[in-house]
Amino acid sequence: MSWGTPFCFPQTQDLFSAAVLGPILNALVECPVERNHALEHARVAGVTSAILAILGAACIGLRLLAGTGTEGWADVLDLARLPEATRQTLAVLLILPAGAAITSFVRNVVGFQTFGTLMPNLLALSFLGIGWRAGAVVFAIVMLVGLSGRAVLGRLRLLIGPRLGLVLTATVLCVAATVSLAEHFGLALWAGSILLPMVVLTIVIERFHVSIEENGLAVSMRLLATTLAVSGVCLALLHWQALGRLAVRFPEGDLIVAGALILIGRYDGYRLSELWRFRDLAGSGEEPNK
Amino acid sequence: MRHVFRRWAFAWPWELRRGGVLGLNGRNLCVLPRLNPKPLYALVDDKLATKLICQELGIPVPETYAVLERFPDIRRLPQWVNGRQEFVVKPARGAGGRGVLVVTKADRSGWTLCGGGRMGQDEIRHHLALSMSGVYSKGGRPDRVIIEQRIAPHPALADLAFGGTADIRVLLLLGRTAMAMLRLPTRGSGGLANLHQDALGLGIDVEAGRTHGGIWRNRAASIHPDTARPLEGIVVPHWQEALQFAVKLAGAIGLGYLGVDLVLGACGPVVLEANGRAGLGIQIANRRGLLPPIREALADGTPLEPALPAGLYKSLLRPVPGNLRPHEK
Repeated sequence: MSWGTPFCFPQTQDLFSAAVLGPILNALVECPVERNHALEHARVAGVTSAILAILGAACIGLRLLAGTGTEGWADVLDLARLPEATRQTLAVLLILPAGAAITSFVRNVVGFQTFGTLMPNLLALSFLGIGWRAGAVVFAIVMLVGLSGRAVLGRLRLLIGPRLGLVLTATVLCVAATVSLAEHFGLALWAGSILLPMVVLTIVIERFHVSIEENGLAVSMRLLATTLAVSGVCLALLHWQALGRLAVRFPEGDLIVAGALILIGRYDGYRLSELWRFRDLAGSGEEPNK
Repeated sequence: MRHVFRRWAFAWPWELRRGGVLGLNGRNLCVLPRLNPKPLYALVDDKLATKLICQELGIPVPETYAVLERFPDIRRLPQWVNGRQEFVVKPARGAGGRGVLVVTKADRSGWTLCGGGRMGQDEIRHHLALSMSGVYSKGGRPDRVIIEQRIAPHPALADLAFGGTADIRVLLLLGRTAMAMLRLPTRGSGGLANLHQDALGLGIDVEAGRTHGGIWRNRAASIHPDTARPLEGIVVPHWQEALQFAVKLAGAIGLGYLGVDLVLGACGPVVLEANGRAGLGIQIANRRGLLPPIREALADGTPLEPALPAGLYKSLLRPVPGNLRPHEK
């Protein structure tokens, strides 16, 4: 018996099987030729992911059946009873894993690289506080200062650490000037909300600079664009009121997300980008398992 | 642009599977954990360690002129270079050819690089300082810089490589040759032979040592993009010897999935470095997937046995600063 898969153990081969058949295949299909530790990993991962997903779904289902407002143990899971401010914070936190899942999906299944797996999430989180318009302004300033600063500092031939420190200094000064100018023209900008975006953006700038050093400008720009696009999706998730309410009402939904993350982590099929990269190899070579 | 769209714009996953193509996820999840024990990566991630193993095995490597370890060493650069005209500067832990300078002419005012670039003295110092502070190494670890002999290319390959030196990548599975590729620098790659940097890759028939077809910018290519020379049927000189060195080195290093990079000098092949996470572009160059050979190797493969004295491995696996400075011996 063969699944036509690269190895002799069942694999989550493409998007469909990764999403739908993966856990079932991994859990049920016996390895036809040899057992090895990779197979064990795949099966353990499949089973774990299935258990997590079923646990989460069952929990949600049971509590839906029981109805809201019931006294007892199930009430602990319902975070909607908490005060408004706590609830909003928890809603954001509970959606973060979904953002991480999206990022790792883009990295490992689609095949577009970003600056780190958690960076898009962090960017989205930091922009959440100040809104995307102010966020875009801060981002533009930081990028502009960072890039022009890089051009100037390139002549000084500094080591990378102090150079980044200087970029941070210039950025801080520019943000201070912006806040002050905004105040002057009657726009209230709370400087406190800029703190998180500043820190996160400085990290992005650092990654960006190191990446330019290592991979060149074109690759780095592509990385940056992907990071921004993914963080845009994360931001949309965080902004989604209905999803926030749902996450607070059913925090165990994150178990399902964890199951999905395990599946993505064991996805050993082709990335979407590889369908393009290896297109010249379509149908070449001999039949496997022959 | 027409030729791009004449063929498929993409391949379906089942087509790739039928072709036995290994993907990145497959390599990282299934191949590397099974074939490559983690601690052994230290033997290939540090080029000085690889070099030492080669010397132990009697495999020719470029002569090391100097190893710069600390920033003050940069000031002693003229002393290290010692009036030499041609040499190669590379970070010991640099990956994918990053930070490598091939110097064709060194004089008082600076260096002329392979590919025509020119570096002033302060630029050189800056590059060395950056390399040592770990810009080119994985995870930004502090690094050492190797200054070594530049291998003059074999006359048969000299006119194929545009402004640089051709090199050979041999991919070994459990110590046996699986695929090979000849990499030629192009105008766009600035004298470097890394596929990521626009170099041209030609698949080599392992038995015959003869090239068939090639890959350029992830596309199959049959003529040289700069010189329009046909890329098929080039006979690689000293082929058997090169294979022999690669097999010997892979056996000693013990990584089951290993790429060995050699350069063909006028008097035979010389090993440059080895790579435990060798790229997958070699499949496109050979128009052949890696999965059938991997499956074969796994089916009847005996694990690699260390071929060197255990003490040497021990000392290499946790490098003591200074123990790999051949110039002080």
